[in-house]
Amino acid sequence: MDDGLNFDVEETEQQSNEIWNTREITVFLLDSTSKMFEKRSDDTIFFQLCLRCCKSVFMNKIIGSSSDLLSIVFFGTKEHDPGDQNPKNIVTFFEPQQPNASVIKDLNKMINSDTCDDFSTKYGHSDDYSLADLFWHVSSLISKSPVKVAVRKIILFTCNDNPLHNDTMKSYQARKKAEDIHNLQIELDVIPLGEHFNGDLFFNEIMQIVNGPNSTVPKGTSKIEELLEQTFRRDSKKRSIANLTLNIGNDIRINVNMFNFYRPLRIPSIMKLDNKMNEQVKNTAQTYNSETGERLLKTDVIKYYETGDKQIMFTVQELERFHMNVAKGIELLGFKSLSELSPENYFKPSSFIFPSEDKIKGSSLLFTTLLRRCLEKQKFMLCYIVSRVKSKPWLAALVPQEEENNMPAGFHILYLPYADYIREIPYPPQSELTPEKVDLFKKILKKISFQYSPSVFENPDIQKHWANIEALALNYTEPRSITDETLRDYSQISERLGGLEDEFVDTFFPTTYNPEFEFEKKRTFSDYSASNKWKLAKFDPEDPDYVEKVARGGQADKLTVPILKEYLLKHNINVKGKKQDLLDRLFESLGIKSS
Amino acid sequence: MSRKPREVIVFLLDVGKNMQQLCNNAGETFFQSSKECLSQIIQRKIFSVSRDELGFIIFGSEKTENPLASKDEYRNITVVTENLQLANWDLMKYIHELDCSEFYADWLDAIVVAMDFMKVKTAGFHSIFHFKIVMFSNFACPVFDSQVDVIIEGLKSSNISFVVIGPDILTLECPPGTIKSEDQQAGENLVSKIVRRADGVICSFEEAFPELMYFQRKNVKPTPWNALFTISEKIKIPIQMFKKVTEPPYRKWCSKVIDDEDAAVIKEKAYVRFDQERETMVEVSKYDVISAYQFGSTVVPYSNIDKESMRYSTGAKGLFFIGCTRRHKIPLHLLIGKGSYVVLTRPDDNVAKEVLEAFVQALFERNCVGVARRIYSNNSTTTMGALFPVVTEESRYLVYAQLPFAEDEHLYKFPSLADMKPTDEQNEAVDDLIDSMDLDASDTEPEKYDITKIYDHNEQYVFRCLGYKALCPDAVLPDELAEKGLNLLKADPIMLEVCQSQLERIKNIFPLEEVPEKPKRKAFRKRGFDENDDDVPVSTSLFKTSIATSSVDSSQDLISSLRQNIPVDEIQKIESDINYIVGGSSVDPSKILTILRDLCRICSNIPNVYNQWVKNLKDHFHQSNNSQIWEKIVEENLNSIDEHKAPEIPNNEDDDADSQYGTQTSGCIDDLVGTEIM
Repeated sequence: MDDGLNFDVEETEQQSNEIWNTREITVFLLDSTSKMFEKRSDDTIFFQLCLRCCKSVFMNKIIGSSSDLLSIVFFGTKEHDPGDQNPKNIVTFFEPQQPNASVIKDLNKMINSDTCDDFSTKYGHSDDYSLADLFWHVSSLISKSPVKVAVRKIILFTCNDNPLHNDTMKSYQARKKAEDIHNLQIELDVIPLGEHFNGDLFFNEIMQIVNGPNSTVPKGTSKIEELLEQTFRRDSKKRSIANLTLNIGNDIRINVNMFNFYRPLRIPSIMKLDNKMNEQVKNTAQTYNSETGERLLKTDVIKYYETGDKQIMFTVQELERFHMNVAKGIELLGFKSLSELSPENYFKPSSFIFPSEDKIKGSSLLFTTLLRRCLEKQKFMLCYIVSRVKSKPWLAALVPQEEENNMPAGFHILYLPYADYIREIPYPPQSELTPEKVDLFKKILKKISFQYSPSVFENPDIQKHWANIEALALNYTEPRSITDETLRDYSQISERLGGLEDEFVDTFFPTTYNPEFEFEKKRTFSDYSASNKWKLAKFDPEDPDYVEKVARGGQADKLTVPILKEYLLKHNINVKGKKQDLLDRLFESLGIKSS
Repeated sequence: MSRKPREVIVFLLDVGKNMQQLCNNAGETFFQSSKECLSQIIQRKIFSVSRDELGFIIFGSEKTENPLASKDEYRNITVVTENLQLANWDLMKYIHELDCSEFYADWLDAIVVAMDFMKVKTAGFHSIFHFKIVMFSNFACPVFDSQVDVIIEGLKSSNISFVVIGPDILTLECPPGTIKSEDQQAGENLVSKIVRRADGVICSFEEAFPELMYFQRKNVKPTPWNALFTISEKIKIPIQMFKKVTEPPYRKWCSKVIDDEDAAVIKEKAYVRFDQERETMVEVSKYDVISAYQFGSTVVPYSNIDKESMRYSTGAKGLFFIGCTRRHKIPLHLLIGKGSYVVLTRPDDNVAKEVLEAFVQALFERNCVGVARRIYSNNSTTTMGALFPVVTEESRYLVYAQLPFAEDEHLYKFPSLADMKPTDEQNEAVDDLIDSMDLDASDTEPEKYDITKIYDHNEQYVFRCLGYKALCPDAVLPDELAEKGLNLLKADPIMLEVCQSQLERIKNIFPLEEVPEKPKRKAFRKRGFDENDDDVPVSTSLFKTSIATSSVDSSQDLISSLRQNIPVDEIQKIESDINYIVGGSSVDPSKILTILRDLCRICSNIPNVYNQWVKNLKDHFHQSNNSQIWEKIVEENLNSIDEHKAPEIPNNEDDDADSQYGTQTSGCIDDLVGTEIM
C-alpha cells in the first residue's frame, strides 16, 4: 500500500496543513440533590435515568467518534473534589477524557443498584450548591482540556426548575457566569426532568444568555425514550469539513461551509500491542537494496510505471507534482434540470453546503435566493469543486434542499462521475409485457411496502462487533444480543401475499422452471464454447494420462486450472501462480517445448 | 460480453514537401498537425493497452524502402514497421523525431503499398480482425490516377475501412485566406471519390482532435455478480449485477534503486515501539505482537481468531428484498458506497428476464423504489441498497446503489434560512441568471458539459506527464502540461460573455462584502471594563493553564517563558482574562494576581499597565459587592507596582521576588483604595 503513490488520499490531505479539528468535548452536569434520588411512582429514579442517558452517549462515542472527550460532574452533593480551593458541593465524577471501560462499569453499577451504588454515603446531598460555581467549574474543566477541541458542550440534567429560589444575588452571579460560558463559545443544553418543569422560572433565561435569543428548555419528561432522544438531538453539533468560496462569475463570490451528512461508519482497524510491555506498536516498512543490503532513503529510489513495454521513470519529487494544483473552491458552470440527475450516475457519497457570513457578508442572502429560485425552476447548479488543496477537481451537481423535518435548507453536493468512470453495459432489449403481469407485480409490491428511513436500520455487523468488544471490556459473561432489522422472514411475507404468490408462480414460471436450480446450475466453459467441447472430446477425462495426452495433443491451454493443479500436485510440482505458469511447468515436466 | 473488435491499422503519413503548407491560423503546418494527431492516436493505444496490430508507412520520404518499389515506381515510400506490432514507445519516438522532407510521392501509390503490406502481414489472421488504413495528407501534389478504380475495388474486397484525416474539403481555402492550388483541389476531389465509393471516412483536424483529446485507461471487461434475488419464499429470480460507475483504481508504481540496474528494492515490515527510557524506537518481534481493539481509551485484546469466531454471521450470499417505498423517501443525496450497479438477468434465462422486467415496470408505475439487503459472498458483511427502476425506450433494468445505516447518518442542526427575504428585484435577477446560464439541450443547442464526454482532468494530466517523460526521460516536466487542463475547469468564457449583463445586475443588487481575514478565533474572551477586543496571544493559553491549575510550578514556567520577549500589549490581553477568572471563582485570586504582577514587573517598562488594571478591578469589585476579594488583595500586597522598583527583574527564585517587592509596594495601597472601600 505504502509503495504505490496514491493520489487524493488521506496521506496527501494531511500534508496540506488543512486538518480540520472536529473533536468535541461534552460535559454532563447531573443534579444530585436528594430530590433526584426519590423513587417515583413508576419505580424509576430520575438520577438513574440521567445516568442511562449519559451511558448511551458514552457508548455512542466509543463506537462513533472515540477521540471526543466526555466528562461527568455531579452537583448538589455534600462532598466536593479534594483540595480546599475546589468549589463546594460539586464532584467531578469523570474528568474530561476519552471514555473507557471502567467508567462504563461504574455507570452500570449505579444504574443497576437501588441506592445508585451507595451514592448518598459516598457523595451525600445538599441543596446548598452555587450555580455560579458550577458554571465556573465546568468552564475551567473545558479550558483545561488536554487536547484542542472544536466544539464544547454542556448538558445539564435537573428536576429543579427554580434552583435559586429567586435569590437576586445568586441569580445575578449565575447569569454572569452564563455570560462567560457564552463568551467561551460553549453551548449549554438543559434537559429537564418531570412533566411539570417550568423553564420560564429560571433556565430559559440562562439558555438565552448562553445560546442566543431563540433557545429554550424543552418540555420536561420522565420517560427514558424521550430523554434519550433529547440528549441525542443535542449531541451533534455542526462539524464543517471545509470552508469554500462559491464563484458565480464576474467576481461574485459567496462563502459556504461544507458538511458530510452521510459517511459510512466502519469498524476501527485492529490495533497492535506489544504483549510484554502492553504498549501499542507501530507498523513500519523499511526498504533495502537487494544487492548490497543497504537501507534505502526515499531519494535513493526511483518510481516507474510500465506501459507500452517501457518503464517510464519519475523521481519521487516529480511524482509529488502529479496534482494539477487547482485552487480550492467551487466554480459555477451553469444550471441544468433536476430531471437530468439519475441514480445510475451515483458514484461517491454526497456533501452539503450552508452559507457562512464569516468571510463574505451577504453570502446568506444570495445563497438563499439561488436556492429558492433553483427549487422554483427545478434546476441544479453544475460546478467543479475542489474541497482541499491538492485534491482532485470533481464535477458536481448542487441540488437545492428545502427546509424539512430534520433536513436544513441548503445545497446537497452530488458528485458526478467522469466519463472514464462509467462502464458500458450491454442492456438487453425490452421484452413484451402484458399489463396483467405488471398489475400482478404491483399488487405484490403493495403488500410489501414500507416507509423507509435510514434511522430504522442499524448496521448488524458493527453492532455485533461492538457488543463483543463491550462484553470483553466490561467482563460480561456473554455479549448482548443484537437485532438485525435488515432480515426479513420470508415465510411471513408469503403469508401476507396469500394467493398472490401462487398466482405469480403460475403466471411467470413454466412448470419446469425452478429459480434456485437455475441459479445453482453451473455454467462450465464448454457451455459457452461448443467448439472447444468438440476439440477436447477426443480425449477421455477418465483416462489417467488425460492431461498428458491433451498436452501432447497441443490442447493444453484448454485444460482448466483445477485439472492442471491436480495433475501438478500429483507430480509434486509447485502449483502457485497463473495459468500460464502452471502450463509452463506442465510442459517442462513432460519435456514439451512450449510455444 | 461484447468487446471492441481487434483491428489491424496501417498508418500512412505524408512527410512530403507539400505538407509544409499551413493548415490553420495558428501557424501550424499540415505536417505538424498530422504528427500531433498521429502521436495522440498511438499514445491512446498505449495507455488503453490496446491489442490492435499497427503498421506504419511514410511517403514523400527521401528514401525508398518498400517491397513494391522498382526503379521508377513506388518511389519515396518507406515502410517503417517491418512487421505489425502493438502500439509502443519506440514507434512514438520515431514519429516524434520525424521531419518533413524535400521530396514528393504519389499518394495513390502509398495506398497501394499499404494495402499490399496489410495483405502480406495478415495472411492467416483470424477473421475477428478489422482492417483499417488511416491516411494523413493534404493531397497537394500531382498523382497518376489510372489505378483509382483498382484501389477502390481492392479496399472493398479486402474489407478495409479507409480513413483520411486532415483536409477540410468543405472549404476552398487553405490556409484560411489562400485559395487551394489546383493540384490540391484535384487531389481532394479524388480522395473524396475514393472515400465515398469505399465507404470510408474523411475528417478535418478540427473534427478529429476533440475525439482524440482524451486518453483512456485499459478497457475493463464487465464481470457479473451472480446471485439469487429473493422477494418471497417462492418468488426468487437469478440475477446478475454489473458495476456501472466506479472510480478506477490507483496506478501501480514500482520502485527501483537509482543508478543500480541490478538491485531490486526490498521492503521489510516491522513493528516498532517507542522506548521511554532510551527515547528511541525499538523493534518488537512479531511473535510478541497481539491484536486489540479500543473500547474508548481501554484496550481490549482481541485476536483475529476471536474476530472470526465472534463476528456476525450474515448467512448465504444473495440479494434479499426488504420492501418498497415511495421514490421521494430515497433522495439521491442519501446514497453511500462506491458507485452504482445495474441489475440484469442472465442472458440465457428468459423467464427471469420477464420477471425482472415486470418488477421494474411495477415499481416504475407505482413510483416506488425497492430496498434490499445484499450479501456479497457467504457470510460477508451486510450492505443495504436501493433498487431504482429504469425504463427507457429500449430496455428495463434496475439500478442498485448502497443506502446508509443509522450509524452512517450525521445530521446537524442549522439556523433556518426562512428569515432571508430577497426583494422581487433580487429574485428576478437570479431567475435571469439561471435562464442565461442554462446548460440543458435545447432545440438549437446540444447539452453543454455532457458528463459522458468529460474525462478525469487529473488523470489526463498524469497521462500527459507519462507521455512526455516516455519521450524525454531527462527533461523536467513543463508547466503547460498542467495548464492545459486548468482552463477546462472554468465556466465557458463564451457563455460568461453572453450573460455579462445578468451577472453585473446580480453584483449591483446583492451586497457582498469580503470580511478582512480574521485571526484565529478567541480561546478566551474578556468581559467587563476592558474594551480592548484584540485577539488572544499564544501565551495566554499557557497563562490559562497556570491559573486554572493555580500551581506555582506552572506559573514559574510561564514567567520564564514570558521573560524572553513579551510585548506589553500581550500583557494587557492577559489581564483581561484574569478579570474573568477573578470574578468570583473559587480559585484563590491572590495567586493569580501574584503571577500577573510578576509578569508585569518582568516585562513592564510601564508599570501603569498593572496599576491601571488594579484600579479598574477595584471599581469592578466595588460595583459587584465583592469587596472581600479586594480586601484580600490589599492584605497580600498585590496592588500597584511601585514605579521606582518596576524595571528591576527578579531572579529565578520566586521567594526572593516576593520579599523584595511584596512589602515595598504596600505604600501605594492608600492611594488606590483610600476611603472608597466601603
